[in-house]
Amino acid sequence: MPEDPRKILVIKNCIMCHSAKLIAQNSMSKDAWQNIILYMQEKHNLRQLPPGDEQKIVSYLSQYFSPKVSHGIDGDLGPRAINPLP
Amino acid sequence: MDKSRRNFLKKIALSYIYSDFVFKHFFLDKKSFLAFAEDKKDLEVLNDRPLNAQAEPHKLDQQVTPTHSLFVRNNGIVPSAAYQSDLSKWSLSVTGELNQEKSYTMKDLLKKFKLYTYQLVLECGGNGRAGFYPPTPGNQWTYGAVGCPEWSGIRLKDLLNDLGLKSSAKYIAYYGMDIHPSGDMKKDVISRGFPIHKALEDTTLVAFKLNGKDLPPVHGFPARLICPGFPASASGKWLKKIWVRDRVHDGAKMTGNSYKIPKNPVAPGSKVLDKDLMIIENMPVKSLITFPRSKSKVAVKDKDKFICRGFAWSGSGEIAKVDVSFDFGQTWHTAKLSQPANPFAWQRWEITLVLPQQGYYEVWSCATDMTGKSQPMVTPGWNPKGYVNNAMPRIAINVV
Repeated sequence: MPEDPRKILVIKNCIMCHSAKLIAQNSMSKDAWQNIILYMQEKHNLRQLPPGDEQKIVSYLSQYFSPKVSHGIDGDLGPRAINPLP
Repeated sequence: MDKSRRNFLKKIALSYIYSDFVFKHFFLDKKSFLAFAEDKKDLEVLNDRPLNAQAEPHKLDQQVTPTHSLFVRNNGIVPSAAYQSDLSKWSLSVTGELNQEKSYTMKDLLKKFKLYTYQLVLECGGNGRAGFYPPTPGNQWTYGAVGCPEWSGIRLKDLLNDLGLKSSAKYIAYYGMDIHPSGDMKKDVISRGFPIHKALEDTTLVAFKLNGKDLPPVHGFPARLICPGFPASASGKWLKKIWVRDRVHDGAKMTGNSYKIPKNPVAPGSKVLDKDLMIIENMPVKSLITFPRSKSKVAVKDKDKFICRGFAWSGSGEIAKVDVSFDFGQTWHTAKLSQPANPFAWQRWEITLVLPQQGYYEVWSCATDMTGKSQPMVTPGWNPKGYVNNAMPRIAINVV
């Protein structure tokens, strides 16, 4: 995970239960990362976060782990090209 | 006691609880990881805590998947009981919509019921998740969260019939001994199940052995369900309890959006409400190219006898044919297809192709089942959690 002052908050709140590898595999929008935090709170015992911390975690995750052009299922064979919809 | 001393003691107590928790759980999981690292050198680790690892396609080329190439998908921490060969403390309780409820020791189970061995496909519901765009959350499985080893165990239906199913019995629920990643001992990690008709199939097992040996700790020792054809999450590990229910089970990861797909197709990236989702049952028609390894080189002199092979399977019955293309789907060639060893075993396909000239090729395979359903080339049916991607697999080949 990239070094950044916000990284410590991710380590303190997320890496207790699962490894950073799970985060680094994923790429999601800000909204989607926000929903993951909600899901972890509802289902998996994540505590309520101070609003400032939550905002920093979401901004860190969405900055470094956001959707990019997908390499997709075939890795460096590249994405599966499909014709655009007319 | 003065305040500072009280605070000091509180701190000590807290740090003790904290370190004990971290030590105990991290250590247990570390243990599973180390044991795994020893046996499973072949796998690519996607997540080391909880453990999630898959095979590269060319590592799945054997008819019966060896244990060291079988994927691992753990939702929580492997329970300490999985490392103890002493089974005197273990029992399986079977409760719910039955004429009689009972707890069985391993000795009871082995004495009372006949042991069956089948070669059965186990595939993670999220196998292929990496193919979805926009990306969907979770472990980014590509092709390798599937395998077809030999499982030995008793038929779940023999166990249920021993106790007598009531007419109200509708659904099977399982509970395992694994530990929630947060360490909360009261929380179930995963407690899923399947409808009673699936429980009554000959190949739905309470399994004790994988490829003739006791289940390894990461695969559910001492007992697990095997519910072939359904997402592998229906095949609960470290089994301690089976609850026969009069309704669809609502345990951990049965509700919300876990292991569910939209009832009606949605555009990629859509938000879907939980009420518009349905539980995944039979896994789709699929194939895998296991030989050669992607990006292999083929000598020009061998281009007329290029051998390619793999497996095909479906959660709904037998595969009728497998077609292979080396020109992006412009021409197709039907492969030789073997019979499955038993229902829900994968089927070997193999073909010798004549590649026309030097250069770059992509080989695609496409399985078709008995009802005519086959595999799409592009990723089908985007869904919020990225399940059941059965798009055709492809490999790259260079004729040089």
